[in-house]
Amino acid sequence: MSAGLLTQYLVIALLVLGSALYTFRKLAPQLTTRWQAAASASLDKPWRAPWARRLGRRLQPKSATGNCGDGCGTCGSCGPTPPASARGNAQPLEFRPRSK
Amino acid sequence: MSAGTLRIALVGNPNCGKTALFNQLTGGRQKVANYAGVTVERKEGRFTAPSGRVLQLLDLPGTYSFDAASPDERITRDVLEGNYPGEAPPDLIVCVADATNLRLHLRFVLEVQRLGRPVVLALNMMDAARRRGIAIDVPELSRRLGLPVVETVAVRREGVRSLVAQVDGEIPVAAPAQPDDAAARADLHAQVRELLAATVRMPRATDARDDALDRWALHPVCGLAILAAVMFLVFQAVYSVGKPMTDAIADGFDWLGAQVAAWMPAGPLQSLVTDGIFGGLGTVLGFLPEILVLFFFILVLEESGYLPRAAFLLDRLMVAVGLTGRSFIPLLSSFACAIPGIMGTRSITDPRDRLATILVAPLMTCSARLPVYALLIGAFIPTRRVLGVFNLQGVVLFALYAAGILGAMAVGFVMKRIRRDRSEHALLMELPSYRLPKPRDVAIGLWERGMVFLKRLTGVILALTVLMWFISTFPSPPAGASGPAIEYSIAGYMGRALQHIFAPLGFNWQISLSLIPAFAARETAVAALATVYAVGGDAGAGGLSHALAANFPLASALSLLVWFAFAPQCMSTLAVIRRETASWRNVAISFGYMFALAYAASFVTYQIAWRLA
Repeated sequence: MSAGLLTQYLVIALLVLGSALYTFRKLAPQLTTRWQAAASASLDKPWRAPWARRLGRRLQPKSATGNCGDGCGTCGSCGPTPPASARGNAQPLEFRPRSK
Repeated sequence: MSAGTLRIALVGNPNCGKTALFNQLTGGRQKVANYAGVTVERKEGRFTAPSGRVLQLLDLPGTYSFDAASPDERITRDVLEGNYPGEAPPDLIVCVADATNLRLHLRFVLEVQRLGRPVVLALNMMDAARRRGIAIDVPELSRRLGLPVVETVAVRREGVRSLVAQVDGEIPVAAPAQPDDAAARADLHAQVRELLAATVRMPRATDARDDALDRWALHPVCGLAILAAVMFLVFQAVYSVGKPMTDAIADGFDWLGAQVAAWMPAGPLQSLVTDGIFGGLGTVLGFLPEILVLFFFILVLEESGYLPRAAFLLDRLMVAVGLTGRSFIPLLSSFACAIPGIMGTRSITDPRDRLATILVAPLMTCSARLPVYALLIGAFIPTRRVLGVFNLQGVVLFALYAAGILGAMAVGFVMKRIRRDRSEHALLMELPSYRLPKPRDVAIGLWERGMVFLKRLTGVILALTVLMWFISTFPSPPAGASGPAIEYSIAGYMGRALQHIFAPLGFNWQISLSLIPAFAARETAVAALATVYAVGGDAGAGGLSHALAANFPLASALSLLVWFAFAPQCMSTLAVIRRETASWRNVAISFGYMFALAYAASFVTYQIAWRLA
């Protein structure tokens, strides 16, 4: 395999990997944030090497993601998810068929 | 109060111009329109007053009183009463009132005053009030209310100067808090009547121009005919105006792809760029003009004040099918995207009506489906005149949108038949004055919409296109393979496995495969098809339309169009249904019934079309 072709495959591998991560992040924002937080916590331990701790801190999720705008973005006005305490008062909407 | 930052809440009845005021002060671009219920959640912004003081502004959903009936109204009540979790009560309340309709709006001002917090009254739309000859004795109104009153015109920059000067100065002294009981509230109406008699002179209660237009627009027969004609013309325009621009973009991308291919060395990277990015993304981008044309008309209708009239006209029909006139605006928002539509149901008071609207909202044809429709219609429906006037392609597009609406009505009707509570609720809604849409607002709306589309295109659609190209290209065919290389790829195997499910609908393996990324974003089906056909070498010189026409019978194309009219919505929509209803069961109901409906409708369409052909 020529060096040129090898370079092409490397670029493609990076693009495909990046696309897969991006798509996964968009489609499952809360899950990926949890994984990211877990990875960050396991790296940022006192006994880890300084570079690993730096990486752990860098990986720390900046804020909770996963509001309704993720994966769609056409509305642009979803806003943040209300705080859990506010949601706690909400009654679930339920469909009640006549047979019940 | 935090040091140096004053927290101001904008409150008032729906459609009095709070968000327009918020945008004017903060430079924000929150959605505004000429109907009640546009803002359904709390929005926050900041601006620096001339004195250098930083003011934090809260834009709250409109409400008629503190007897909160719907979820959006509860947010306003909770914030003002200091009961909203994590939110301190505002330091100053700016109560916005429509100066042309003080009979309705002053009641809420009095109710807010009873909270015992500093209040400023902004008499908004003063330009419209003057035009109608309404004279307001502002100093007397201020004296009688015991609070500062300023005049504003929220849609003009200079129209908010007096309000900025007021909030930048001393905070007014709050009136003492008063008990909030039934007797006190009954007294509010009497107080409003007294205030109006002493301070407001109105030549007539309503706008003569509105009355003249409403004689036609709200007529039970003429009104419905006008509504049908307006909607029909919108879809005609999508094709007549948008199609030439779409074709020009497609030609431009073909040319650009050829230039890049000639410049790049042959190899897999060249295939990714030409077949994936130019072939896939370029095809989707081509549909931007048609989307913008559709949104142009939606924005004009939103600004004009016609939409609440349409809701009023359709109320009887909506009630008959288990919905309500209040469902109309959220359902109309769903033509842009089901997500704001579902969130817009917060303005529906009755939980049962709200849930019914949430479940049928995804059947409205969202803009993400437009590229799929436009592609298939362009490939299979001839450009022909109907009755010498109408474009056949536009008629088919209108029929697809109508199919979504009829599907929603049918589902609503079935839900009404099987649910326990069949009681009906009267529609009570405010009809705003007609207004000429402001070109600047429409232009900003179109710009925002275009940017959202491009962001999606260069985000999730690009990522999915790269992945689709990858699974269509790898692995390479085994030694001695006789078929096309793509049939030995991951995409080939996945597509053939899926085809077992979708073969009764007339879908080939390429179509079956494209349904997977469409679940993330509908438009990606177009990019996926373009990539798969380009990699397979079937795209040819005429682009995706020609490839589809050559590889796909008309019956299958019609079946696919029907599939997209009813198919289960994207993942984001399901996530919002979960959030708004706090129930996974509703997500399962929504997904399940739409899959069954789409499958059945596509099956019937395919079988009939196949036999007729």
